[in-house]
Amino acid sequence: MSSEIAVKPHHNSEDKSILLIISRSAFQSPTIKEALDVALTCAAFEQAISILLTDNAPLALLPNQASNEIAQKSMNNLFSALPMYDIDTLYIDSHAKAILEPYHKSIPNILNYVNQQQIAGLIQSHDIVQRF
Amino acid sequence: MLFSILIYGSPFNSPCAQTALRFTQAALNAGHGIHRVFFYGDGVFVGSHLNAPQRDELNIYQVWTDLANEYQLDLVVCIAAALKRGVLDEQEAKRHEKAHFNLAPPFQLSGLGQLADAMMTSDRIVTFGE
Repeated sequence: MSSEIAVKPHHNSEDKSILLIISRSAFQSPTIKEALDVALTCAAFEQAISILLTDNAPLALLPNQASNEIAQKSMNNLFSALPMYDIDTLYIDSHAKAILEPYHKSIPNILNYVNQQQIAGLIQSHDIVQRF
Repeated sequence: MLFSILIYGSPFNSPCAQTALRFTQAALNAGHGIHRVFFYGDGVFVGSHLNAPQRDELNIYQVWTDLANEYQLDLVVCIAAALKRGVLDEQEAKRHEKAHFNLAPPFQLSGLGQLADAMMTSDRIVTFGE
Protein backbone atom coordinates (compact mmCIF):
# COMPACT_ATOMS: atom_id res chain seq x y z
CA MET A 1 0.00 0.00 0.00
CA SER A 2 1.35 3.39 -0.92
CA SER A 3 2.02 5.93 1.78
CA GLU A 4 0.62 8.62 -0.51
CA ILE A 5 -3.00 9.38 0.36
CA ALA A 6 -5.15 10.50 -2.53
CA VAL A 7 -7.64 13.21 -1.66
CA LYS A 8 -10.58 14.05 -3.88
CA PRO A 9 -9.92 17.21 -5.88
CA HIS A 10 -11.74 20.35 -4.82
CA HIS A 11 -14.77 21.25 -6.92
CA ASN A 12 -14.01 24.96 -6.82
CA SER A 13 -12.00 27.44 -4.84
CA GLU A 14 -14.62 27.71 -2.07
CA ASP A 15 -14.75 23.96 -1.43
CA LYS A 16 -12.71 22.35 1.30
CA SER A 17 -11.60 18.81 1.90
CA ILE A 18 -12.99 17.51 5.18
CA LEU A 19 -11.74 14.53 7.17
CA LEU A 20 -14.02 13.07 9.84
CA ILE A 21 -12.23 10.81 12.31
CA ILE A 22 -14.66 8.57 14.16
CA SER A 23 -13.47 6.57 17.15
CA ARG A 24 -16.61 5.57 19.03
CA SER A 25 -18.09 2.11 18.80
CA ALA A 26 -21.41 1.67 17.06
CA PHE A 27 -23.80 1.50 20.00
CA GLN A 28 -21.75 3.21 22.73
CA SER A 29 -23.40 6.54 21.94
CA PRO A 30 -25.15 8.30 19.04
CA THR A 31 -21.76 9.66 17.98
CA ILE A 32 -21.24 7.55 14.84
CA LYS A 33 -24.71 8.32 13.53
CA GLU A 34 -24.30 12.03 14.24
CA ALA A 35 -20.85 12.07 12.63
CA LEU A 36 -22.22 10.34 9.53
CA ASP A 37 -25.05 12.90 9.43
CA VAL A 38 -22.36 15.60 9.27
CA ALA A 39 -20.68 13.68 6.43
CA LEU A 40 -23.89 13.37 4.43
CA THR A 41 -24.78 17.04 4.95
CA CYS A 42 -21.35 18.25 3.87
CA ALA A 43 -21.46 15.90 0.88
CA ALA A 44 -24.83 17.39 -0.06
CA PHE A 45 -23.03 20.75 -0.10
CA GLU A 46 -20.56 19.18 -2.54
CA GLN A 47 -17.65 19.20 -0.14
CA ALA A 48 -14.99 16.50 -0.48
CA ILE A 49 -15.53 14.20 2.51
CA SER A 50 -13.20 11.51 3.81
CA ILE A 51 -14.03 9.28 6.75
CA LEU A 52 -11.49 7.51 8.92
CA LEU A 53 -12.63 4.87 11.40
CA THR A 54 -10.28 4.20 14.31
CA ASP A 55 -10.34 2.49 17.71
CA ASN A 56 -13.68 0.65 18.08
CA ALA A 57 -15.47 2.44 15.24
CA PRO A 58 -14.52 -0.09 12.47
CA LEU A 59 -16.64 -2.67 14.29
CA ALA A 60 -19.69 -0.70 13.15
CA LEU A 61 -19.09 -2.14 9.67
CA LEU A 62 -19.59 -5.75 10.73
CA PRO A 63 -22.58 -7.17 8.83
CA ASN A 64 -25.70 -8.84 10.18
CA GLN A 65 -26.11 -6.57 13.17
CA ALA A 66 -29.47 -7.09 14.87
CA SER A 67 -29.65 -3.51 16.07
CA ASN A 68 -33.45 -3.56 16.11
CA GLU A 69 -33.32 -5.97 19.04
CA ILE A 70 -31.86 -3.18 21.18
CA ALA A 71 -34.11 -0.52 19.62
CA GLN A 72 -31.26 1.03 17.62
CA LYS A 73 -31.02 1.98 13.97
CA SER A 74 -28.94 -0.18 11.67
CA MET A 75 -25.35 0.96 11.21
CA ASN A 76 -25.16 -1.20 8.08
CA ASN A 77 -27.89 0.87 6.43
CA LEU A 78 -26.13 4.11 7.32
CA PHE A 79 -22.84 3.00 5.79
CA SER A 80 -24.67 1.65 2.75
CA ALA A 81 -25.96 5.17 2.08
CA LEU A 82 -22.50 6.74 1.85
CA PRO A 83 -21.70 5.74 -1.78
CA MET A 84 -24.90 7.50 -2.89
CA TYR A 85 -23.26 10.71 -1.63
CA ASP A 86 -20.00 9.97 -3.46
CA ILE A 87 -18.32 8.80 -0.27
CA ASP A 88 -17.12 5.53 -1.75
CA THR A 89 -14.01 4.82 0.27
CA LEU A 90 -13.66 4.51 4.00
CA TYR A 91 -10.24 4.80 5.60
CA ILE A 92 -9.82 2.18 8.31
CA ASP A 93 -7.14 2.02 10.98
CA SER A 94 -5.06 -0.99 9.96
CA HIS A 95 -5.45 -2.59 13.39
CA ALA A 96 -8.99 -3.59 12.32
CA LYS A 97 -7.95 -5.38 9.15
CA ALA A 98 -7.92 -8.86 10.65
CA ILE A 99 -11.40 -8.32 12.08
CA LEU A 100 -13.04 -6.92 8.94
CA GLU A 101 -11.27 -8.87 6.21
CA PRO A 102 -13.46 -12.01 6.47
CA TYR A 103 -16.53 -9.83 5.87
CA HIS A 104 -15.32 -7.73 2.91
CA LYS A 105 -17.88 -9.21 0.51
CA SER A 106 -20.72 -8.18 2.82
CA ILE A 107 -19.52 -4.63 3.41
CA PRO A 108 -20.88 -2.17 0.81
CA ASN A 109 -17.99 0.29 1.15
CA ILE A 110 -14.50 0.23 -0.30
CA LEU A 111 -12.10 -0.09 2.64
CA ASN A 112 -8.67 1.49 2.52
CA TYR A 113 -6.56 0.35 5.47
CA VAL A 114 -4.13 2.96 6.73
CA ASN A 115 -1.31 2.77 9.24
CA GLN A 116 -0.27 5.50 11.68
CA GLN A 117 2.00 7.19 9.16
CA GLN A 118 -0.74 7.24 6.55
CA ILE A 119 -3.22 8.60 9.11
CA ALA A 120 -0.81 11.45 9.73
CA GLY A 121 -0.72 12.01 5.96
CA LEU A 122 -4.52 12.06 5.82
CA ILE A 123 -4.71 14.67 8.56
CA GLN A 124 -2.07 16.77 6.84
CA SER A 125 -3.72 16.61 3.44
CA HIS A 126 -7.20 17.81 4.47
CA ASP A 127 -8.33 21.39 5.02
CA ILE A 128 -10.58 20.49 7.94
CA VAL A 129 -10.27 17.62 10.41
CA GLN A 130 -13.04 16.85 12.85
CA ARG A 131 -12.92 14.13 15.46
CA PHE A 132 -15.96 12.35 16.82
CA MET B 1 -8.66 34.99 11.46
CA LEU B 2 -12.28 33.86 11.32
CA PHE B 3 -13.09 30.90 13.58
CA SER B 4 -16.11 28.70 14.03
CA ILE B 5 -16.58 26.54 17.09
CA LEU B 6 -18.13 23.07 17.21
CA ILE B 7 -19.16 21.75 20.63
CA TYR B 8 -20.49 18.20 20.77
CA GLY B 9 -19.53 17.00 24.24
CA SER B 10 -21.89 17.07 27.20
CA PRO B 11 -21.52 20.19 29.38
CA PHE B 12 -22.08 18.00 32.44
CA ASN B 13 -19.83 15.03 31.69
CA SER B 14 -16.88 16.91 30.23
CA PRO B 15 -15.25 20.33 30.44
CA CYS B 16 -15.59 20.89 26.70
CA ALA B 17 -18.23 23.63 26.82
CA GLN B 18 -16.17 25.59 29.36
CA THR B 19 -12.96 25.05 27.40
CA ALA B 20 -14.72 26.19 24.24
CA LEU B 21 -15.96 29.29 26.05
CA ARG B 22 -12.46 30.19 27.21
CA PHE B 23 -11.09 29.59 23.71
CA THR B 24 -13.79 31.80 22.21
CA GLN B 25 -13.11 34.56 24.75
CA ALA B 26 -9.39 34.34 24.09
CA ALA B 27 -9.89 34.46 20.32
CA LEU B 28 -12.16 37.51 20.60
CA ASN B 29 -9.75 39.23 22.98
CA ALA B 30 -6.95 38.65 20.49
CA GLY B 31 -8.95 40.37 17.76
CA HIS B 32 -10.14 37.30 15.87
CA GLY B 33 -13.68 36.84 14.62
CA ILE B 34 -16.15 34.09 15.50
CA HIS B 35 -18.36 33.20 12.56
CA ARG B 36 -20.56 30.73 14.42
CA VAL B 37 -20.75 28.50 17.48
CA PHE B 38 -22.47 25.22 16.63
CA PHE B 39 -23.80 22.95 19.38
CA TYR B 40 -24.15 19.31 18.39
CA GLY B 41 -24.62 15.97 20.13
CA ASP B 42 -24.84 16.37 23.90
CA GLY B 43 -23.49 19.89 23.47
CA VAL B 44 -27.07 21.00 22.80
CA PHE B 45 -27.71 20.84 26.57
CA VAL B 46 -25.73 24.09 26.91
CA GLY B 47 -28.70 25.90 25.35
CA SER B 48 -31.29 24.81 27.90
CA HIS B 49 -32.31 27.76 30.05
CA LEU B 50 -33.86 25.34 32.55
CA ASN B 51 -30.38 24.45 33.77
CA ALA B 52 -30.38 25.42 37.46
CA PRO B 53 -26.98 24.67 38.97
CA GLN B 54 -26.14 25.49 42.58
CA ARG B 55 -25.02 29.07 43.19
CA ASP B 56 -21.38 28.15 43.66
CA GLU B 57 -21.28 26.23 40.36
CA LEU B 58 -20.82 27.62 36.87
CA ASN B 59 -24.03 28.19 34.94
CA ILE B 60 -22.82 27.19 31.50
CA TYR B 61 -26.01 28.42 29.83
CA GLN B 62 -25.62 31.86 31.40
CA VAL B 63 -21.94 32.35 30.57
CA TRP B 64 -22.50 31.46 26.93
CA THR B 65 -25.56 33.74 26.83
CA ASP B 66 -23.58 36.63 28.33
CA LEU B 67 -20.72 36.17 25.87
CA ALA B 68 -23.11 35.93 22.92
CA ASN B 69 -24.92 39.09 23.95
CA GLU B 70 -21.66 40.97 24.44
CA TYR B 71 -20.24 40.03 21.04
CA GLN B 72 -23.45 39.26 19.07
CA LEU B 73 -22.34 35.68 18.55
CA ASP B 74 -24.29 33.33 16.32
CA LEU B 75 -25.16 30.41 18.62
CA VAL B 76 -26.73 27.61 16.57
CA VAL B 77 -28.09 24.44 18.15
CA CYS B 78 -28.55 21.43 15.86
CA ILE B 79 -32.29 20.91 15.65
CA ALA B 80 -32.19 17.13 15.17
CA ALA B 81 -29.78 16.57 18.05
CA ALA B 82 -31.73 18.98 20.26
CA LEU B 83 -35.24 17.66 19.69
CA LYS B 84 -34.36 14.08 20.55
CA ARG B 85 -32.68 15.30 23.76
CA GLY B 86 -35.65 17.41 24.84
CA VAL B 87 -34.16 20.80 24.00
CA LEU B 88 -36.91 22.74 22.21
CA ASP B 89 -37.69 26.35 21.43
CA GLU B 90 -41.22 27.68 21.71
CA GLN B 91 -42.09 26.96 18.10
CA GLU B 92 -40.91 23.35 18.23
CA ALA B 93 -42.62 22.81 21.59
CA LYS B 94 -45.92 23.84 20.01
CA ARG B 95 -45.28 21.72 16.94
CA HIS B 96 -44.58 18.64 19.04
CA GLU B 97 -47.38 19.44 21.51
CA LYS B 98 -45.06 19.85 24.49
CA ALA B 99 -46.14 21.87 27.50
CA HIS B 100 -42.83 23.72 27.89
CA PHE B 101 -39.80 24.92 25.97
CA ASN B 102 -36.26 25.51 27.19
CA LEU B 103 -34.39 27.20 24.36
CA ALA B 104 -34.57 30.86 23.37
CA PRO B 105 -32.31 33.55 21.88
CA PRO B 106 -29.38 34.02 21.70
CA PHE B 107 -29.51 30.27 21.03
CA GLN B 108 -31.39 29.24 17.91
CA LEU B 109 -32.30 25.90 16.39
CA SER B 110 -31.16 25.15 12.87
CA GLY B 111 -29.91 22.30 10.70
CA LEU B 112 -26.54 20.76 9.98
CA GLY B 113 -26.33 22.94 6.89
CA GLN B 114 -25.26 25.71 9.26
CA LEU B 115 -22.29 23.59 10.30
CA ALA B 116 -21.40 22.88 6.68
CA ASP B 117 -21.63 26.61 5.96
CA ALA B 118 -19.38 27.33 8.95
CA MET B 119 -16.77 24.91 7.58
CA MET B 120 -16.83 26.54 4.17
CA THR B 121 -16.83 30.12 5.46
CA SER B 122 -14.40 30.03 8.38
CA ASP B 123 -10.61 29.98 8.24
CA ARG B 124 -10.58 27.44 11.08
CA ILE B 125 -13.20 25.31 12.78
CA VAL B 126 -12.23 24.11 16.23
CA THR B 127 -13.98 21.10 17.72
CA PHE B 128 -14.56 20.54 21.43
CA GLY B 129 -15.67 16.99 22.17
CA GLU B 130 -15.55 14.80 25.22
